[in-house]
Amino acid sequence: MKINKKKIKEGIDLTVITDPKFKTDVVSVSFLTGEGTEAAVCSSLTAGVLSRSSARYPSLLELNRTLDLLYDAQLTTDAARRGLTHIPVFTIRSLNNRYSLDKTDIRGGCLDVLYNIITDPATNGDNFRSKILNSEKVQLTEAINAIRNNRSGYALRRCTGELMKDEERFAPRLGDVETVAQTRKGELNRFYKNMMKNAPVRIISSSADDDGRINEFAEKLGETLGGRKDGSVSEPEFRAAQKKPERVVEEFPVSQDVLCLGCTYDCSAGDGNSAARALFHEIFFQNPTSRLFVNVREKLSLCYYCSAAPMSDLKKMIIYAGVDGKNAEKAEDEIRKQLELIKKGVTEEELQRGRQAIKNDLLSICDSPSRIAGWYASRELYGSDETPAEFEAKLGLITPDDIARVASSVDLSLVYTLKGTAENEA
Amino acid sequence: MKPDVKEHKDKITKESYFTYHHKSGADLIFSQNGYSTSAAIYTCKYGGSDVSFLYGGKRYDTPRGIAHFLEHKLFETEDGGDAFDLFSDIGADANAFTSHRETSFTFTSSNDGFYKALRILLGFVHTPHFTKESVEKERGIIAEELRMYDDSPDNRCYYELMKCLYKFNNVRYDVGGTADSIKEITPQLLYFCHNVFYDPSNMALIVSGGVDIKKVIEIMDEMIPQKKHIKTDVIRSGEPKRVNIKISDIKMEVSSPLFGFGIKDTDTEDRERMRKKSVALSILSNLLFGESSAFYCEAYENGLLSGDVDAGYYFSGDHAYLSVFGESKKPYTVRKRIKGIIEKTIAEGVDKKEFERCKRVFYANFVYSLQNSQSAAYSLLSFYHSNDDMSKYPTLLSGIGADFAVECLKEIYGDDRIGFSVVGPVSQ
Repeated sequence: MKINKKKIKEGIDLTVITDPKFKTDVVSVSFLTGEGTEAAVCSSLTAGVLSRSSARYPSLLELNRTLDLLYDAQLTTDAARRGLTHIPVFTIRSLNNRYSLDKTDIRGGCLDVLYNIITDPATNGDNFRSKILNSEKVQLTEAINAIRNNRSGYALRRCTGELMKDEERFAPRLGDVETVAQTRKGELNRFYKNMMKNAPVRIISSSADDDGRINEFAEKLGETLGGRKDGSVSEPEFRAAQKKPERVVEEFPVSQDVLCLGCTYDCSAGDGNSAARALFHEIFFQNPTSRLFVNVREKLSLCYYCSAAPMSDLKKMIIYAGVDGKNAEKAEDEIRKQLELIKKGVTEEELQRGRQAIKNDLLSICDSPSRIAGWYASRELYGSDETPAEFEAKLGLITPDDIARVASSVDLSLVYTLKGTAENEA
Repeated sequence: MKPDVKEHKDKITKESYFTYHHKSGADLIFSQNGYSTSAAIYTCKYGGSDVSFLYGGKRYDTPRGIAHFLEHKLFETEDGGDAFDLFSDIGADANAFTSHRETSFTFTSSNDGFYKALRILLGFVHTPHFTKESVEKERGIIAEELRMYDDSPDNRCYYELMKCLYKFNNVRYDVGGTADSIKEITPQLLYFCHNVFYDPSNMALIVSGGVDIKKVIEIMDEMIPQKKHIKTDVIRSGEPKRVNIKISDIKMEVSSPLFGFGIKDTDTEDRERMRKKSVALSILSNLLFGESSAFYCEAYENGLLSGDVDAGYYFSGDHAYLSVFGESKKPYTVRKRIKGIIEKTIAEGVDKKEFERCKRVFYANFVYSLQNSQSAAYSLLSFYHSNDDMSKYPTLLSGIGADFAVECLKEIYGDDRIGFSVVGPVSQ
């Protein structure tokens, strides 16, 4: 595997990953925009509006059929959030040209579509078309509301909101429905223009070979966008947990409770502890031999799933489980007990297993063009260019004391329960 | 002695895989690649629908959910430990899943750790160990799993559609059973069902990765027991052509209604034709209702549909159906529109160029499915359970014509064969 990095212009960076074993190509362009609810909504709407049409492809039908002819090229746009920064990400994934049956230049076509949808949106004069914007507002509202359909996802979102309620600059990834309703095309237009002019840009490509065209694409995009001040993701200040955890209960007509233990997590993506944290996560909740799985699920049979969502970029962690209401207290006690126990240390055997599991995962990452692109994308947001091999070397240096230290930076702050009120029909 | 391995090579993509029939009766399906990780799946033709069967000429009726329960419990090792611990020692990532017709156990590992992990996989699947206490404990875990799925609107929408389409087929029931049915499961029943179905001649090992087939066969020799085969026939009920219920409309806490539209197809006996029909109707449903269809794009832009749609044709042994799942504020308008498009297609046919465009999408998806060891193993698994040769898929695909697809749609369509499920908000 080869990695080449290049500064296209100030604030626009290109990373090219090549490995002949890849069958597919992935190219993504990320814009680091702003913070807060308005940025979240505008980031989501921009991603939505740009991915469904452009001046050249005025309808979703024309765009999708063009992608089909490029051997089902997958254009996806994601309104991501890292720390407090909202990041529209435009990604195109396609088959490598060697799989083209009729000499269609898949790669050339995909780079052309990606450039076109980012730089040449469908507009009426200077503004996004009202019809497209209004339709995308309806879709975004539906997407925000649809989080309720995924019970554990909804509970995690609500718990995150409660944990972050004192952080004014924080907003949920997609924003909220009220702000969506209030957003006018002038605001979205200003957001888009500002993004194109000022937002730091990261371009990442992974493919079987490098024929120089990704560089041409990046140079062309750089010429259109122009240089800008570089920047990275902004993180919230760490806020210590309250001495007595707050309790929030929300009733919901489902048969199973979702118990969420919201914790503060005193860490930072760039603090040099990422290897110790990865091992802590592995040992505490990440696999079927983890402390939570073995004790809460296997030994006490309290749940089917018990895991955690670490959000080191927000300095929070949520430990969650789906439990029968009558077992919720017992599950909470056991999870809290396990959290305190892991702060006292882990065994050499657990550490060794954790290392093996992560090493295996690093190999899988290197086998996948999408996952290796994601690896570099997430690190570059924090100005790091650490390779999987360098990360693996760090794992070997971590001691049980290091794990205890990072585990000790997790403190319970909030117990949020999505309380099931429906009869069990299972 | 050189093993009798058969190579299957696709002329179009140049991808190949190998098959081998092991002396135990188990099949080996193997693909070699240059990836750093390898994947294995050990699969048994025994799933959630297989509750009634003839074994040695005698009929047995077992509780719903027992195949899934067995999947959970097989991870328990003879010493009362857990196979996950053994996988974990070498960093392998293990899992298992049960569908209506199959149970599969899988792992991915580094190429170096593969052989050790394979021994663990074959070892625990063939060495059941159940106690009254451990079965009791698992019942609590599975009950929570069932509740979780019961709370899922997508899952409910799917099973409601199955209940609409099928009157007798067990696919209308949750693979995991119910809180009541799993109460009937005992260690003795688990041992019995394991003995009946986990017969190597009812199983296959699928391997994909940078590993040596000879070593894999050596490990199969060592780990798979020789067993006297006793004839087992799963009892399957016939189905009328017409649907069981036309419409199911239930209420749950959802943001907007989910819908599932289905056409029941009972004409599944001619296997050779089903191979072609499955591909033809999959392409056609994608053309008519997929994300590049006029139906989807217009409905999305006008707000009639939100999010994605999932359109396809599914065939699994004794049942087949064409379905479209999605989310809409006006599900009954969508139903009417879907019916209208099908009727127009039957009357007027489809644009052949558009059909070729969709074939290109299916070819691409086939290549996408081979892009890492795990995904390639899942693809081989899917072809294995369809009794199909994966290497022939690209050629089969290139030979499917638009007229044949429309003819198949005409055959399966009928007002009395349409089921429709809606999961609407409680407030409506």
